[in-house]
Amino acid sequence: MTPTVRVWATAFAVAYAASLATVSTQSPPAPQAKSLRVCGDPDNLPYSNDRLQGFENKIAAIIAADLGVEPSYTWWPHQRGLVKNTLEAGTCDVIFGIPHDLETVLATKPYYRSSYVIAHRKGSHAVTSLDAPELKTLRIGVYANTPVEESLARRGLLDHLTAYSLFFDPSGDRDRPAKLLDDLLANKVDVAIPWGPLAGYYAKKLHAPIEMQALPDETGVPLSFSMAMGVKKGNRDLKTRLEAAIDHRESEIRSVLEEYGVPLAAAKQAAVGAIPVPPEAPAAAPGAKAGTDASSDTKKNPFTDKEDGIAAGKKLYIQVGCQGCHGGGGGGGMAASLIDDNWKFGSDDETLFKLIKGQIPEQTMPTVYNTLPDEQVWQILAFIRTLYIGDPAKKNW
Amino acid sequence: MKRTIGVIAVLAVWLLSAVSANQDLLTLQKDDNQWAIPAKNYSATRYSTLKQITAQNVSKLRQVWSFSTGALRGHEGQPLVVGTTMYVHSAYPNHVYAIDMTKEGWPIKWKYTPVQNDRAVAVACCDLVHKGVNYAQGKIYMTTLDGQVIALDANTGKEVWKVRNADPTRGETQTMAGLIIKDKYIVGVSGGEFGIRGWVAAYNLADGKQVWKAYSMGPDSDVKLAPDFNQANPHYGRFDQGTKTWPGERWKNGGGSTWGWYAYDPDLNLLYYSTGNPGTWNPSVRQGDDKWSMTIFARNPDTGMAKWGYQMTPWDAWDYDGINEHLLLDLNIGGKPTKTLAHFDRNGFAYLLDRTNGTLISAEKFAPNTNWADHIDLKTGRPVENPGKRTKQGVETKDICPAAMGGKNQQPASFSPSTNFIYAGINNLCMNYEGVEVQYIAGAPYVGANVRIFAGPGGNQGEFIAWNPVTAKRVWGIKEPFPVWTGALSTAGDVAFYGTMDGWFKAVNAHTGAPLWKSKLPSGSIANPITFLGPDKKQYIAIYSGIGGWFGLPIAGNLSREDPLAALGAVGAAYGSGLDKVTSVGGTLHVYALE
Repeated sequence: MTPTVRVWATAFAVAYAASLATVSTQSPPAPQAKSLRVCGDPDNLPYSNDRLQGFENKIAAIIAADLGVEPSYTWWPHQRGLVKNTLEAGTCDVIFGIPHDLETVLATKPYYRSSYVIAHRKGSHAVTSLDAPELKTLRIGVYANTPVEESLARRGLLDHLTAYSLFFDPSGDRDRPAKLLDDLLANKVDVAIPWGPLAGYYAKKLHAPIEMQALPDETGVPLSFSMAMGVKKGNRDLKTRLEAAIDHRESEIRSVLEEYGVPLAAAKQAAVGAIPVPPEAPAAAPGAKAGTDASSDTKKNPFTDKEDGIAAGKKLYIQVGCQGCHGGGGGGGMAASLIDDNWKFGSDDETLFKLIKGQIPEQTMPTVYNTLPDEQVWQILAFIRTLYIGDPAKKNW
Repeated sequence: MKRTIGVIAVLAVWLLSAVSANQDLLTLQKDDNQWAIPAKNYSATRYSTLKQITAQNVSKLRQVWSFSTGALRGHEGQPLVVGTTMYVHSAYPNHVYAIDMTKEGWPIKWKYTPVQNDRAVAVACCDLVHKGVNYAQGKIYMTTLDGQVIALDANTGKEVWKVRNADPTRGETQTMAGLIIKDKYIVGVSGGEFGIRGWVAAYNLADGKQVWKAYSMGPDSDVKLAPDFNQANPHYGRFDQGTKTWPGERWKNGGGSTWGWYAYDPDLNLLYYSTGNPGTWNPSVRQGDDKWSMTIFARNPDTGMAKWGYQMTPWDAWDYDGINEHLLLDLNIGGKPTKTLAHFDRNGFAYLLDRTNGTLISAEKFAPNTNWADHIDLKTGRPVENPGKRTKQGVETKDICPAAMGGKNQQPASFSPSTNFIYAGINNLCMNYEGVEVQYIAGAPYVGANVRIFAGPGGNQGEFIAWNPVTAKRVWGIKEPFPVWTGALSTAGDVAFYGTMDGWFKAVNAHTGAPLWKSKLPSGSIANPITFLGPDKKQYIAIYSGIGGWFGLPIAGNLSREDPLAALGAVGAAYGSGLDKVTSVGGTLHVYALE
């Protein structure tokens, strides 16, 4: 999955990471700026555009006013490379509208929460639930690689899906996020299941004849997400000031969201852990501490170098199928090698635990092991560690 | 009255369109200036009557054009040539390009890349390959790795429709080209390593609606057996076998994927394809024939109903995944003109059957070191096994030939009516195999065996052979250091073409096997050569390079070399023979002509 904000706003695995620590490094407070330097998307309504017509543009103006400055924009599409080319390159200081648990930035508390919605044209196919039997006879439009695909797959509805891209393709009209809604209006699909703010914008702001119903979260597949602002890791000063502004301007922000028809979902708990945690939450792992925003603790495998755990892990490695893709001796095949120094998402215990549990948003490994008991995951990992033949200096477990 | 006429009129139009689709392809495939279906023709002979290029002048063949596909994983399959346009495909992400051959430099008319669920990448067994696209009536029809079936406007590359055939979250993927018959696009599924239950399905060319779906195992209504199924050969098994030959409900994860090549006989109106290995690879948990895995099926393409089915490897214990191609040959057998079907199976035997009813004519070892069975009993149709080579859970059974990669893998053979030989790239690979316990988890691998693969006696891992299907005997063979995983092409110029994993594209004398010409490719080839006449009326030969597939996965996937069991045994085999020292990744189409 290409990590973009468009996808972040929708990625299903986002929620899985909710209760985990965001590791951040301390750095000196940034000097007081004369403007709020926003990393904006130039062409992504209803969120943002370079004519400042998006709701994130309006919210940025409100927040800047609270800080006593003007917003100024650096334009960069909210796609691959966003954080690296904007926040990390120092060309701007804040991205609006990122999932509140995005790990590549330091996120503020959420300022709104929305969900996926099921939408239909007024006067036709009034479907309001993913369990509606008539879905089996309809054409359903969704974005590729979103949690909705998984929800529909579980219901055996994949045959009815038309997948749309979340990415803007400048070379033609095929791939454009709004195409899903345009096709719904053009009767090319019967129902669409987009991220709520997009459908809300069509209904409220564009007065399109669309009706919609917000979708509830499902076990293991969250369909609602909390959105926040992201600053560069370590920029705690700006984070604190933005959060104060969110508090001061709560009602104004809400008016903007309502003006744009953003369907708001109720926050379930406080900011951290606001999102339903999958049944086998890693926080429950033996010997591990629950992460918090301020903590940099990471989980450690209690079975590393323990003979019994390794033996149990070796058996499980074959039984649950790891061997099929990663090789009888861990050398890989369909999947990556487990014996060398190449670790796509990192080699530490916590990362690999999350990967097996299906909690890394960008992972392509099947997420079917999300129900494997934590203890077994750690045992498998303990066995995998014994296969390592890479540079001993790179061991971080 | 009026309504009846209306219905009849609609029916007539519908019938007309059905017939014309068929006619369109029937005409196109007879025109050797073009290469309009993946196997050249419905009989899948990969033979062309073009003869500008001959055994005498082939040494003057030079590369005149090349084109990077933009993908680096293994490139199976072949481009199509329809009219003056060439349709080029790639490995995942399954790009498709239309190339205008009328203009200098052969520019791109359009490019299409499907939107895909990238989780399919992690559940595709043996590299992210694809076997090519199909053409009919101004549209391109294709499958994607992530399970979609898509129709494109052949002039513009715009999507006409797309539907879903397979679900990667359950381990189902697609690498096959499929085949268009009349008004339907017939496709199958990969995923025999994920405990899927395989099927073939037919989709309407016009709108993508699924017309029928026939499973490889399960109740007869799912497998779609006609009332006269196997009437001519009741000993092959007739009814209820799709459940009763499995312990309990194992058939529900019975494998039998259908990722190979399909053929069609328009006179008999029968579609031919075969099913793959039963799931899991561990035989100890599925004692029984495991029907209809490992089976050659003949089905009515209109209804999907099976007329006959012949299981080659009952109770598979070696992963002799039976999906290889079928060549439909009209041969003189014992003085009698006979409609036959020739099939070189992974299990090392070359089968010849009467394609009207499935009756076995001959079954001989084309892979000379085959030792898991002594012979095939032509009366019963069953292999006479060597008990010492039957694998089981918890025991490493040694020195079994052929290896799981087969006496021959999927790369399709060619038949030349001018020599009456079949040309095929084959393997000389053996293995040690141990079944291991595995539990089924939907969407997780369900392999259940550790396999070590190595060269068979002689040390060469591959060979390119000519085979006489009537006498069921090898005519000649050219030993190759690596398994030969390109398809074959034969022409009326008495030349046979093939390529190698170490990146040679070769031409040999079709009668004698004498080497005539070779050209070095930038990456090893596992693709199928084609030939056609360009708009300039010159004969061209084309082939993709791009190492990969199961054997090439260690290179394509950049795997480390230390675990010989990795990539289901391919790491041991590929690094053992030094494949990494002779080639690297790349996806390119090469076009050759006489200088």
